[in-house]
Amino acid sequence: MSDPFGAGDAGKTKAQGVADAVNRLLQELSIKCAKEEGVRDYFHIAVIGYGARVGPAFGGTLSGRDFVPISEVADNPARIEERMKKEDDGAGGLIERSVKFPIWFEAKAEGGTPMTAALTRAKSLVDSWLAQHPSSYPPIVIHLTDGESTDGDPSGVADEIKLQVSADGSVLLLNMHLSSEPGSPIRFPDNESGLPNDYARMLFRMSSYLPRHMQQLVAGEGQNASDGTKGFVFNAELPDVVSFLDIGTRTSELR
Amino acid sequence: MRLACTTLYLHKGGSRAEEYEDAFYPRRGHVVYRRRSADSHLSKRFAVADGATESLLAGAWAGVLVRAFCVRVAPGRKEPHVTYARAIRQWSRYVDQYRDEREARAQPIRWYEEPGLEKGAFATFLGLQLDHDSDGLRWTAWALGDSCLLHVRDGHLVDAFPRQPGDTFDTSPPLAFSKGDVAVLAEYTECRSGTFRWNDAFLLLTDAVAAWSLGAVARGSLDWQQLLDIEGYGADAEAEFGQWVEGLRSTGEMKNDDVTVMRVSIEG
Repeated sequence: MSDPFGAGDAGKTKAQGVADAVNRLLQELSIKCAKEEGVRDYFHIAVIGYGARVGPAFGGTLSGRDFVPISEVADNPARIEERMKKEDDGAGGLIERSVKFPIWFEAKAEGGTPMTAALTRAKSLVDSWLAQHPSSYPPIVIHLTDGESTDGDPSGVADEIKLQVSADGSVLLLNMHLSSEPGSPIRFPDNESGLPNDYARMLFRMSSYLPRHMQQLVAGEGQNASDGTKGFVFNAELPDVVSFLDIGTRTSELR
Repeated sequence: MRLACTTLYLHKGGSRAEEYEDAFYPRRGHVVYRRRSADSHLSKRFAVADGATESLLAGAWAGVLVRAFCVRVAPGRKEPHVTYARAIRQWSRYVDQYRDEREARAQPIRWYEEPGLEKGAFATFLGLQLDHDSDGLRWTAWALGDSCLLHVRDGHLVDAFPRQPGDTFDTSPPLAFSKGDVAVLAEYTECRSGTFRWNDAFLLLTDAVAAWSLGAVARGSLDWQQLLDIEGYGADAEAEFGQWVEGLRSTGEMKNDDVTVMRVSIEG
């Protein structure tokens, strides 16, 4: 777990790469739900970490909590880093600008990859959520991993997660494999033919079919999407899954 | 001619009343205009706008848009360009004042608000102008997005604009943008005009109730005609309207969203 992450991120470990992806996801979700003077609770979030142990992974004051309303998540990062971001200067060059990068989840390179235990924990959280909120938008499980399962085949529990339903539809399981392996990234495939190995094929089978509105967003990125398209990326950076989540009227500038 | 304008609205279910992000003008729930004399020109404007969920200060921007269209109208100026240019100018001052006001009450902008404020605010826009002069009775409407105008005569739909009965509504309509280019916004804005008669009515509707109404028309249902009977006076009317909307939401017939219904009746 302390292997280098990707070719372009010198010095960044795999664990750091996954931690950055989780923190960026929480950051983007907070911004998506932000309104003036607060964040609206369109989502409740649980973050499960797995390595030497499997359990709640929020740091800081949220430590030990399972589901947390997004407003509390936004107001309680464990700390906020200042990071430099390269931006277009409008004249063909790049400028560096300091941006705030909130941290909820710290990188930990320890233990194995107990994927089956982690998904079992996710299933139990989904079960308890649905028991309390049977009419809610169905929960989405976003599984970020950088390695292969070290506690057996997680396919069975993945199937059990996908069988859960609310009155509004089926639970979605998205598998996002963030990898340091050389090779082309694979994003939202609709068949197994281009997948490089059995592990990738297993994750593909474990993933949910994308509902129609998510297919349209994938297609909007210039990629083929069909009813066979799955919520799966392999050997890739974390895609913009936050854009999959509908909270109301979307905004984009007319051109 | 006498114009009576009645507006009722309700915030999204599960939200607080102050989280309502539609806007309308005239701002009062019920207002009446009369032509001063038989040969005077009566020209009145009405507007609704719907602030986008994924946008900060969206309700305030919707409010700026409807006022820019309806207040201190300069006759003969080119629409919708004038409205957008005026709204965008006013908005930049509004945001500066908002930031100052947050600082003044020790509630500085939080990290998660900054990207949205930087990005700008978004809203649909629907404006209606009614004219009565020596040429007769004319209406002109401008629309950007999915807020809709229904022209009604004797309880029947004469015209719908910009969406038609049976059209689908999605979550990505074109939107008026507080940092937009006026010419681009104007290019995407649809305009339609026509004539109207005594006793006609116009309904200006934001998307949830527009989708419900046009869906009913497409199915041949007369349920949408209930909108012609709304009364805008006082708390009882608001409570009755709220119960009616919540009933439609609970059965899934109407999307759970902010709802605004403005009815403009023409009385001879």
